[in-house]
Amino acid sequence: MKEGYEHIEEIIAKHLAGETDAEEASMLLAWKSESDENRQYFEQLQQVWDAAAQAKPQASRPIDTEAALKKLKTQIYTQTGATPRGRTISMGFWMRAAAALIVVAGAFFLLRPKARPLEIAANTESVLTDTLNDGSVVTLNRNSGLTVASAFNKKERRMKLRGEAYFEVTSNPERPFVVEVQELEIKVVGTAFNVDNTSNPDEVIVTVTHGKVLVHDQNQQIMLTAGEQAVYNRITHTLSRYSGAQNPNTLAYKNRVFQFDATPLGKVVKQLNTVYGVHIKLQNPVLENCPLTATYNNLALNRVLDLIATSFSLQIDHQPDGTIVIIGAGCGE
Amino acid sequence: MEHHNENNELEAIRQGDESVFDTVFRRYYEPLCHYAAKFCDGDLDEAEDIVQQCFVKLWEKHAALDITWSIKSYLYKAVHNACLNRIRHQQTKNRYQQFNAGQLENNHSFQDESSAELRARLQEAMDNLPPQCRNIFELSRFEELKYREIAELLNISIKTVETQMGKALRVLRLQLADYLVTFLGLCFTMLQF
Repeated sequence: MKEGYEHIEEIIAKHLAGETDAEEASMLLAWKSESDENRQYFEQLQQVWDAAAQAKPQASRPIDTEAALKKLKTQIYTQTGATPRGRTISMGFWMRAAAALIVVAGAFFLLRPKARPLEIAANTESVLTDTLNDGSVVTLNRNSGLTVASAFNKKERRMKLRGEAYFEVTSNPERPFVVEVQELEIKVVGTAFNVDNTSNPDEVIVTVTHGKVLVHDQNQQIMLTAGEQAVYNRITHTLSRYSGAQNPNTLAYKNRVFQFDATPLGKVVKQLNTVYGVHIKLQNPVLENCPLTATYNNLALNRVLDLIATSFSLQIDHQPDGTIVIIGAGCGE
Repeated sequence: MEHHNENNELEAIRQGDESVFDTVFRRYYEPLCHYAAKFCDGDLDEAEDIVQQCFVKLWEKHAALDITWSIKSYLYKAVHNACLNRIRHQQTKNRYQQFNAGQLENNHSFQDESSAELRARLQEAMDNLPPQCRNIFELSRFEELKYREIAELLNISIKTVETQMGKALRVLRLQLADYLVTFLGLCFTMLQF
């Protein structure tokens, strides 16, 4: 069990309350798959959790939020305007109330801040999925950020990306969806695509999964369709189309689906480290070249490691500092 | 899962953006009233009053807000403190202790007999939790506060929240053990259709 946890119930409770991190989530998955007993115990706690909602005390009458807000506003306005100084002309109560209302309303109008751009950022620990106010869904990879223009959804839907993100854009032909990344612009109407400026800072890789996307900088443009990729090189300022076989694991950070086809283990480990946010090392350099052919569909990290260990007869060693070392003399048999 | 950009909202309220203030009010007013009602023997009029005064204060000092974690935990803390103050004023501290001991049966309106029975069983099981453990569990389950928000609200460590949440689940399961296999299973099949 993970250090600092005395009882599995603590992790299950965290899971039910939506508080687990990736490590705890995969640990819980592994624990659940250990035995039927574990799985049943988990299900019982889940039932308790679900049922507990029924025990929430019920109100004796409904609450009228709007009426309360109105009442609150009246109080705020009259309080703010209730300290007239140096006035000798006496005004009736309603006159005063109305004057206060106008003054305060005017102040709100004048002091209302200009709309500022919206910042969405994913931290080092986890991938972040968010819905923009036009209904489009963006998944930000670790350490990536998105700045959405304050006028978003007025004439166009414009934003600036740093790092890597996958966009599922709701269709709206009247308001193009524009992603700026470095000096490149990606313009779409309704589609899904990935933008990667993380793997190589000198390159922007745009991968389209559905629909059509227009990619351009100041001088050149390419129209991409589903299954195509554009690579922009920031040093040579070249934009090129790539329609051959794509890296099938482009979206692994989002869906944890990996496809390896005789991929050297060194490369596999690199991708696992990025997607799961862990530090896996190969003890013996010989292992770097072991060719792995496998498909992993959204598995817990421990399960993936077990499968790799089995296919090459290797050992997995979890070190106290969190590093995971893969041990073995060679690629098995 | 709900996701509001609370940092932006907090900043907007600091700047005096009234529409954001309204949004926050509409989102938290009702749950906060239910939370406050627990301290007022279920008296909603009094609870609404307390919550409204907290929002008035939030607005009055919006420019100087010193919120370290989130608006949600700020509001719960403000309401929590206002309730405790009120109790102190009335010198009826035992009412709060009563609340902690869980004497809330009277407030429940039951829909039908089987859910009434389930409620009664759950209530009984919750009553058997130690007060702090129960309070933490309710804040997470009923008020949907994050662990960090609960820790801040009650001035305890996140570790304590984790431990108490695990404990609550473990104890509740034991209390409801005979129900789990048959009754709850049946109930949930019915609820899903």
